[in-house]
Amino acid sequence: MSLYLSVVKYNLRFNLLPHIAAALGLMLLTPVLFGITALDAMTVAYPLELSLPFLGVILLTPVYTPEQDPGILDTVRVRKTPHLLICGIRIIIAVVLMFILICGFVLLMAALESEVSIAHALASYANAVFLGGLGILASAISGHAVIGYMVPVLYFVMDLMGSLGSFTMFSMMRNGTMDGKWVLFIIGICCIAASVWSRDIITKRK
Amino acid sequence: MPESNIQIRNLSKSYGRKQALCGLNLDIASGMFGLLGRNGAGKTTLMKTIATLLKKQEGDIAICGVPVEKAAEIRKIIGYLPQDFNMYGSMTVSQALDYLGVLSGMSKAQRYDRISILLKQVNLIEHSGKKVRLLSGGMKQRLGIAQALLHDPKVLIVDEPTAGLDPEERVRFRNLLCEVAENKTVILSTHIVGDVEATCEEIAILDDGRLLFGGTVSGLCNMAEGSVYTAEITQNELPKIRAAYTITATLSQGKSSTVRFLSPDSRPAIGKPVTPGAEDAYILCLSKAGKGGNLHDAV
Amino acid sequence: MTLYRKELGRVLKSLIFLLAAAGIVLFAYTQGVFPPHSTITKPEPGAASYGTKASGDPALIMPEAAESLFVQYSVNQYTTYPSGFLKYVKLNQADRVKMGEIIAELSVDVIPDDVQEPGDVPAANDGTLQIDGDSLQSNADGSFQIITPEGEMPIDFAFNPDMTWERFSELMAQADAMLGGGSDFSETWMNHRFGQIPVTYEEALADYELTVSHDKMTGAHARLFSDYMGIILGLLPVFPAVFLCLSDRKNIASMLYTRRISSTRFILARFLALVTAVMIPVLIMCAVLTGIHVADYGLGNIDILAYFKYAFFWMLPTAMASTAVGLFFTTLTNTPVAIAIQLLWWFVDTLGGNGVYSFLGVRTLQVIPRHNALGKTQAYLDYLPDLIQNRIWIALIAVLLVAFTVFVFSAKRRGLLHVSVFKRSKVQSAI
Repeated sequence: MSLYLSVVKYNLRFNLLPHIAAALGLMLLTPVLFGITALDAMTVAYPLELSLPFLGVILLTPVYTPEQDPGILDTVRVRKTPHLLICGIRIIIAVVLMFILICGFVLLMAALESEVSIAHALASYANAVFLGGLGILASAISGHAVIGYMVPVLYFVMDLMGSLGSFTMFSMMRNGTMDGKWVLFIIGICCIAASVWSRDIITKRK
Repeated sequence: MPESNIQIRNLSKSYGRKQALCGLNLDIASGMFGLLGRNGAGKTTLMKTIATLLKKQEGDIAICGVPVEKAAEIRKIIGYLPQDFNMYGSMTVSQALDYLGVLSGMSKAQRYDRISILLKQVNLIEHSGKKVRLLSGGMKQRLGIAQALLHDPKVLIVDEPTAGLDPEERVRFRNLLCEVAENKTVILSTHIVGDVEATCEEIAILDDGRLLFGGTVSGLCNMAEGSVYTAEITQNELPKIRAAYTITATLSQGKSSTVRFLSPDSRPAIGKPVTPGAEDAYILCLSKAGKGGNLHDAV
Repeated sequence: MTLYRKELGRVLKSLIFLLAAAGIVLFAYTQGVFPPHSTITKPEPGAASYGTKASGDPALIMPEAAESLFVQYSVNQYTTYPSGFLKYVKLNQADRVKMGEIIAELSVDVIPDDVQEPGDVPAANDGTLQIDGDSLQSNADGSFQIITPEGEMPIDFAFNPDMTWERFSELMAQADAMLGGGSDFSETWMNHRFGQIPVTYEEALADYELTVSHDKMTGAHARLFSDYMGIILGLLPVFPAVFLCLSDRKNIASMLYTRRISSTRFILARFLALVTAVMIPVLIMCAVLTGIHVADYGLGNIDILAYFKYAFFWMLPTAMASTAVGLFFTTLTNTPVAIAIQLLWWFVDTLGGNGVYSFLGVRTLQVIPRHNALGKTQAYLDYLPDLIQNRIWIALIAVLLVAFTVFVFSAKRRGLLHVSVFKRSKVQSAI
């Protein structure tokens, strides 16, 4: 157990810290851009659907980038602890952090008299997992974090400017409902799992 | 069967249409084992396959009796220094070793002991607090060997460890490997014949995924006996000699040059025979392979 | 020229460019501009509606704006766009009293005395307000009525007919300032949010004829196309720029730094290659769309070059800006932070501000000018001077960022950049 805690400690400090800082930056920027005081049930959707889902992109997409250098990858892969387990630990840290940050933000909104509920937090979290899932999968398959960032951003833009039907991320903003959030969450989880699987195949080929 | 022993039987591995390893048979006993070959010969593919980083397609590999399919078991007993070794740049030397020790399943006490011993052994104790990205090439390679030895493996696999090192660093590195090889199996993969000649008892030469030669350095040199000549020629004659023979060394001395060349098939018109060195024999081996023959000696 | 060609080849063969190009085309397709979903048709007399337009008439604007302020005051929730994003403002007690005074001056009947908390029941006919959105009733003549609790008299909001435009503007400016700016009552927004009147058949016909004569049909289509393309070109080009710059890290950077080529030529070649690459899918779509419009309207009735003119004048500066942001911040930091920066700029530009076309004028630093309408040629001609200025500014910003990139690159080549977040260059250029 202490070994796993050491792995968590090292990854938090050396591999995840810049991304956690960026996530906190997003949290601080969101109230400045949107205003989160005394929002009604419809308008709470704006920060929750437009801004917070990017936590997924920030925290999940770069999970595989510390070992982008083949020299580091080989050094780490040959260890007793499977490399994919390390990546799995990073993914868990990311999804837990996303949950904590989003719930914390929703609590703050509630304290500022916005009409939010736990359902809003879960809906925003589903969006974040979905967007982050797209990013981590694109990053794993392409081997480049930049491609991993581009794919979810492109999806976000296309959905925002048009609407991607049942796979829209903006059901709260547009219809005041939380339709499709479960679907997005499941797709996100599947993308994350697929990223681990594809990463395994790709690294074994090199 | 000796304890430190690697057995390779009919090993094959391809990347698409390119056959990287083809029906390789090799036995590696304890001590220093040198793996020579051109770039693209399949040395790194073989190293990585033994280190469980690549999956073989055909054949068998056993390390100390453990089949390579049991990756978790193998990783307990091997240490690997990759060709382009690197670590997370923001970590210090000791943090990098500590983290890799964690990944090797070592307890805190074990890591503490081993890291201090290894840092002294590789002469990095003064640089233990330096960030990895600020290390020189030689220091990074020393860190590389330290991390490969961290969990005291029975087998050490080092892939082109001296590339890019200055002569002094190279000698230091070779001596370190020899020290380590006293009670381990060390496989040294390189295309620098000098490294192998200076340190290895047994060697193998790979070319295009096949084994060209397996045996001792002296055995390799014996096979080139009577095929190596030296002659003093003018600069004008040099192009003709180059076209007719494989030259292994040229020493220019004003208007004349002393050349060392290979003539395995017949006695040349000029020059006198000399005792072949390892490099001569290696080049002869490769050139014969290029013509379809080989100097393979069953081990 | 050779370096430009080589860099262009490198970009065109990269996976990220292929994905970006596919994204650009896919975006155009999903937005219904490639292929176009509608054609320009002559308005028919007797249609139900030809749209609306801002009247600019104080007599219409003042009562509407005042009533809107009153409604928002009643529920103490004001809609604002201070930084381009929708933001709801709730006033504290002191500010609500001041706002009440403004309301009092704007109205005839309503004289707020003590401002009460939402849900409080007001006393009968004393002019105090019942603060509850459900209690508001809209009347047929456009005025609003507050339905006070049972037993109370309803309160109508009636605009003060003696109010002058000057005083009205002063009061609205005060209200807007209290709300932090960007409200419906700012000078920018007020003239367009309120006082809308229907467009007449004659006006619609005149706009159509202007579209035929000035735009030659394809100009209007190209404008709508540019509207959507601006959205994607304001963001996507940053990714290939970041990708290309990051791939030069480590060993490759050392080799690059020691080459003879000047930093200016190198960065310029890279920048031009990136911009050319992202414009390629756009230009291909322009060509295809022109062909489609030939079939729709006839060769003699269109401007064959309209799409390309808009590609150069409207879309290119946007692509240049997002590329330059990618180039500069990646060269400076060796991280993909440029993506976040450009995303933020894009966010502020797209989600806030001017609405669906730039009738309010184009902001100087607006990277994505909007014209989300097919036609509206007169409106376009009205804001064209602003647009020209904006495009020049955006192009200049791009050029400036490229110049800064050259400076940073040159400094790194000489090992002069020593900021902790940057990787210290160990190799100094021979130049």
